[in-house]
Amino acid sequence: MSAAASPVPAAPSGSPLSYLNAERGLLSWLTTVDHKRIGLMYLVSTLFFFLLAGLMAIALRVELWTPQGDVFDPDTYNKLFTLHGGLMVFAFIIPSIPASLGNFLVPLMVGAKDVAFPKLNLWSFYIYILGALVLLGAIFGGAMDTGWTFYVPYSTAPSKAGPGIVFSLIGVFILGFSSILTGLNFIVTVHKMRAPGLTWMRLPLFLWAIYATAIIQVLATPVLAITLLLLVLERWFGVGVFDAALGGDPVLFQHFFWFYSHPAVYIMILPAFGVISEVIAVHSRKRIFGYKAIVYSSLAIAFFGFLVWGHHMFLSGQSGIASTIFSFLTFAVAVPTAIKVFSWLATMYKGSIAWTTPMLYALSFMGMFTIGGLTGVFLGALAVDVHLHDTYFVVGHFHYVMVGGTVISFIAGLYHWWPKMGGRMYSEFWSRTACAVVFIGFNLTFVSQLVMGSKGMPRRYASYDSVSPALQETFQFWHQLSTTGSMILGIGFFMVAGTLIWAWVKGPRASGNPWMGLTLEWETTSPPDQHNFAAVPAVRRGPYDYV
Amino acid sequence: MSAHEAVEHHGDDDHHHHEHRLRPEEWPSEPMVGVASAGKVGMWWFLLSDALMFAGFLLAYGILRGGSEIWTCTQELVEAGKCLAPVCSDFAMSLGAQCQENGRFLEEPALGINFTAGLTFLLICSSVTMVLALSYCKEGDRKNTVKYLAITTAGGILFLCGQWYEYFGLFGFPGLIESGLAFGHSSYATTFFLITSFHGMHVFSGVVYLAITTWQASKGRFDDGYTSEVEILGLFWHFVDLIWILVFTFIYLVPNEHGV
Ligand SMILES: [Cu+2]
Repeated sequence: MSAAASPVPAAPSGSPLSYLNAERGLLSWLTTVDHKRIGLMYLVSTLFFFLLAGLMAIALRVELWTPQGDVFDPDTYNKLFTLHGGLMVFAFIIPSIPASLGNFLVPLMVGAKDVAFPKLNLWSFYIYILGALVLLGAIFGGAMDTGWTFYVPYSTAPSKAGPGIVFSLIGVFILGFSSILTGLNFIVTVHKMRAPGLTWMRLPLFLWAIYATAIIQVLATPVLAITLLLLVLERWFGVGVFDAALGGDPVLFQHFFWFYSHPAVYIMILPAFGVISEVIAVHSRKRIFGYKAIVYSSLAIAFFGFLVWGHHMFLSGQSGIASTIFSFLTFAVAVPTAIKVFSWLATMYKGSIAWTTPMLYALSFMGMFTIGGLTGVFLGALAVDVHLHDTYFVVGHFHYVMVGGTVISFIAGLYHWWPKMGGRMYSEFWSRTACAVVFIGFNLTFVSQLVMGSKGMPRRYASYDSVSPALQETFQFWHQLSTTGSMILGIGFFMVAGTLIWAWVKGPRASGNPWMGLTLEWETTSPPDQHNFAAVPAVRRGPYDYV
Repeated sequence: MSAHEAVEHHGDDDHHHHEHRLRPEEWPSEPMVGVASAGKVGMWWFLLSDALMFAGFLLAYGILRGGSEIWTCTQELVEAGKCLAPVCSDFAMSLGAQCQENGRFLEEPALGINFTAGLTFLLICSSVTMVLALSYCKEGDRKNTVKYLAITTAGGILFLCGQWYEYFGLFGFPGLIESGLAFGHSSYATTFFLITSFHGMHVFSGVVYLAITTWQASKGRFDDGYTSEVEILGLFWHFVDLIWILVFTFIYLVPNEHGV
């Protein structure tokens, strides 16, 4: 990866053919096996579901402006937060970075023409679309009102929601297979498609992160799949697997669900770590500190992630010993995570930091993700969890991780690779402004939730007018702050979208390597040629060997 | 320099792929998976994923069974009045399952171990013929490759017939369903049908996969010595066999403590 030491001069507009215009027409997109186009299609569709689920979040926040349940009736409220959670988790966050940025970047970063199984890749995309539409279409079957975790007996008890529950379950079931196939494709691509000289220890950290993520996708998702399948059979045929009334075991459902869904947290956050590693190294122009430590901590997280699911069940009648072990292991996961944060800080130390938009997002990531991680340690502590369980503290905690961590780094990655994807630069001024708005809106929304949760506000309630007037007043204050914050956050996200769309259409042409990065994707043109590289690149040094 | 050629192949056109498939030894060697082809690495990871599905099913079975007081309502237990409340879902009854007679619950049949042991043996034999098929394929012996692939396919089909017989009966012999074991009748019945039919679906996919490969072999697809695809098929087939041995052990062989 030695060729492009200085940026390639900007290509004139009406430029040579790239993957964007080599073939034309809607059909050429819908039938493409080009990983870059598939990545873009994922990007558009995941962001569509992000928008939908985000608007639902705003609606939920509006309901909570006053203690009374005045905007929605409780049933609608239940369905709204369930759909918000379900779409956000399964249709947006899980596929977000791996399926969009991952699809676009993995073959470029390994120096290949495409992923190992290009057709399978297109199949994954359509499976994703099908699953997401079924999940969304469940609205017409009465939607789901169980919360995104589908807990038994909510999901097995007779419910007003009707067939909506079964459709939601099937939707998520289908989405799971998309995730498995994408992960499988990436694992094989990283193993078999690397350019000559690209040894494991020269892999960009983004690839390591995607690789570790893919392992979790392939190994944890099948357990979710059978769990949902059993639940569907239970609802349809009344077989007794999870329903105690039929001889089943409801806690078994929780074990199965969290055996997937805790590792799924790492499916959501590990790719974010990968993005942040790239952004911080490139925009600090410094060799990443502790490359191997970051690599092995990713793998350690992937491994330990499988052993901590019981921390969701401290209050589900699990034995004290089991809870203690799960609590201890949960703390253990904090160690590899902290290793990464310290490595990033040490990378920035004495680097020549460029205050670009991706870097600003990376910095806000570090602050917000750290809050997310540390509040997780509170929740992992047995006694504290008894107080905080099922309160807004939990809601605040995972939004700090999912939004403050994953979404923020997703945006960092989008700005960082946008010139590569679309061949045009964004406006630094407006993008920085949007970043500030997002930062303020986000923290206002979720710090308030951490505070009101620690004061006892339970999650998933449409109204809070049955508590004492004094407490009502306290809760309302924080709720209104949170709702205000969510509006600001919403505006911020629209600004982000505006800057990116403007850049895509009207931004100044970007060079092949605007950040002077050393990883392979910067060696080709922006936007890349249909076949990625004119010749197979040869790699002779590490990904962050800045001089 | 094989690694170099393989890399060029990646950057090359698609049609190239069909004209000259790379032999496994031509794939660039890799410290973790060696020269295994992409398809082979993919199959291994797929099987790991699939194994976790079976693990989940078997675990659910184990937990339900371990936590139950009575697993199979045998005749003795029914007569002793111990099977007070087996579950019989509406669905099971809509299938015509007989759950009650004169207010008394009917017993559930035990699983026929001898017959299924025969099926197990059959599946193991089909693994052996699969191995033979691959070794003939590597020798470039098209005739014997096709022969042993066909025998393996037949083994899979026979297994499916056996499973059909076990469920639904054949030639006037009653199957388990007719004898009172209906899906949804009890956790015992439900887990039995779920797990064995999920495995049966794998056998069915394997049979289709085998049939296609047999046809390809007969057309000379593997005559150029590129046998990786047969090897990958073998991985899948051996996996299906291996899983069956686990299913057989846990579902059929674990004795029923309340039983006979
Ligand atoms: Cu967890």
